[in-house]
Amino acid sequence: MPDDHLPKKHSKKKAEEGSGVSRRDFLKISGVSAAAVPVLGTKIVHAAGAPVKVYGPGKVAVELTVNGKKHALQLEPRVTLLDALRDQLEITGAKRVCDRAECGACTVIIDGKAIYACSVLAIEAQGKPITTVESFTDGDKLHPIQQAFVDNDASQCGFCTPGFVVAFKAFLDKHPNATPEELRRGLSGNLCRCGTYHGLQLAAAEIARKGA
Amino acid sequence: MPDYSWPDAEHRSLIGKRISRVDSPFKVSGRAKYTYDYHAANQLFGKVVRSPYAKAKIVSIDTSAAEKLPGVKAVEIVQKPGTIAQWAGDDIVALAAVDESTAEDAAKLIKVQYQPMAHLVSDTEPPAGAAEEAGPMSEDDAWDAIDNQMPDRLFTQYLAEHGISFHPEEDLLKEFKGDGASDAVLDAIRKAEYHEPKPGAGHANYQKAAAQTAGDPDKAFSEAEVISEGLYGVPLIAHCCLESHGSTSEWPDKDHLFMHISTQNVSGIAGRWPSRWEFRRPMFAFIRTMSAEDSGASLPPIAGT
Repeated sequence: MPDDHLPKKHSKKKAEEGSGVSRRDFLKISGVSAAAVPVLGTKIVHAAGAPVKVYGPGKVAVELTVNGKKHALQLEPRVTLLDALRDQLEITGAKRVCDRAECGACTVIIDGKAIYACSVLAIEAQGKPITTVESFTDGDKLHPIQQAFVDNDASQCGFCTPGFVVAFKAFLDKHPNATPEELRRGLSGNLCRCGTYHGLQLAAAEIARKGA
Repeated sequence: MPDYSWPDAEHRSLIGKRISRVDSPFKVSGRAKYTYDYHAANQLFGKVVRSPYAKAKIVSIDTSAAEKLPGVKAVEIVQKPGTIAQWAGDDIVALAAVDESTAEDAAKLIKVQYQPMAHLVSDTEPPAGAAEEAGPMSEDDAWDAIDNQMPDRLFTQYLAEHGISFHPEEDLLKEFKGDGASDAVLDAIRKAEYHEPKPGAGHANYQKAAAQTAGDPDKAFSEAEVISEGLYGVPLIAHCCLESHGSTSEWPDKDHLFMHISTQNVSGIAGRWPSRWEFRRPMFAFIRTMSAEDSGASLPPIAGT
């Protein structure tokens, strides 16, 4: 099943193409060398026979495109996309929970893919459209996915909820005719500790029935 | 008999109706602000250096390198050398810096030397040396004992034997009462002898036990056909909510403290912070926009993140 959220056993080729940092591929590729946009003043060193850009150690200029808006930032190279969003841009829908690519509470969409923002450096996320949960609402009008969450009581404490909403959206964008079962598997990269999975499944079934 | 009949289904306002949570639209849209989502202007970030040992004497603490690190604003030794850290995770040094990664860097620069000690591994036996270590009950110990519902008999016995190391003003006793202390315990605290805190003394070793009785268990046992006795235990169960523990606090002036705090015990915590901080009776405002910890993880105030 084509699914960003499931472990990819044959994703080596994709990683070599430098197509970016999907959640599972992240661990397999060299983070820094995958950065797409060069920043002036960076140094190049050779590591394992390949040229690698060196940023920092101090703050460097970083430009992020979030929800269609460009933001120029000064960040240490070690700052993750998640921390940049939360601490610098006050975009706090994505949550930091495990901080190690396990729980999905920090899920954002980069280049159409659901990504754990805790495990991508801000410098890596430059030059790519970044979409967060904040962009889904139109004023006070909820996106159909969000409405399905409300109508099916798919959140309790709500800390994992934005991550689930974003993962839903990313999956449905790719698989608009997904069945409830496919949607369920599409959300396998996200965890809820309150145990709202039943509500999430009802929401998935409703979205599969009505479309989003 | 009063008439308790319900209106027919069509005329009911709530029962049988589908009700959405009022907070859901905020949560699904990412607009719900939790403690960790709130950033004050010029906010500092705190980190706590914690003991890696279940029990250890703190031999020395060197904070000099951390204090020199640019961006570090405060380094506070919580437990001085000579003190015994009582659990893996016990606070040793707290610090604040301009951002989280600087605070983490500074925490790594703090050198603490420990002398590991024997620790309790069985909850059916008191820890080695417990009797010698028992000292007067501190205010912190008293709060803990009240929170843990230490049985009155053990509580008053401990106070009578070991005394207290704090001065119980009536205001504080009122707070104890609000937190669940019985009149017997409050009386025992009033009567307890004052002793200087014992250097190196650990927390009181008290036994947690259920104290509530309804009916006559002795009679029930005597009439029972079969009695089966056993010692039962379960491993420590800690639930694990997703939200980070902690608080964001602002001092707009010297008399006010505004706190965003992850807790379900908002009213209880307001009474507890003044005793932990040295100022008395400032104005407090506790702001809890959202909390993911309503399943009980965060009853006591927790310093640091």
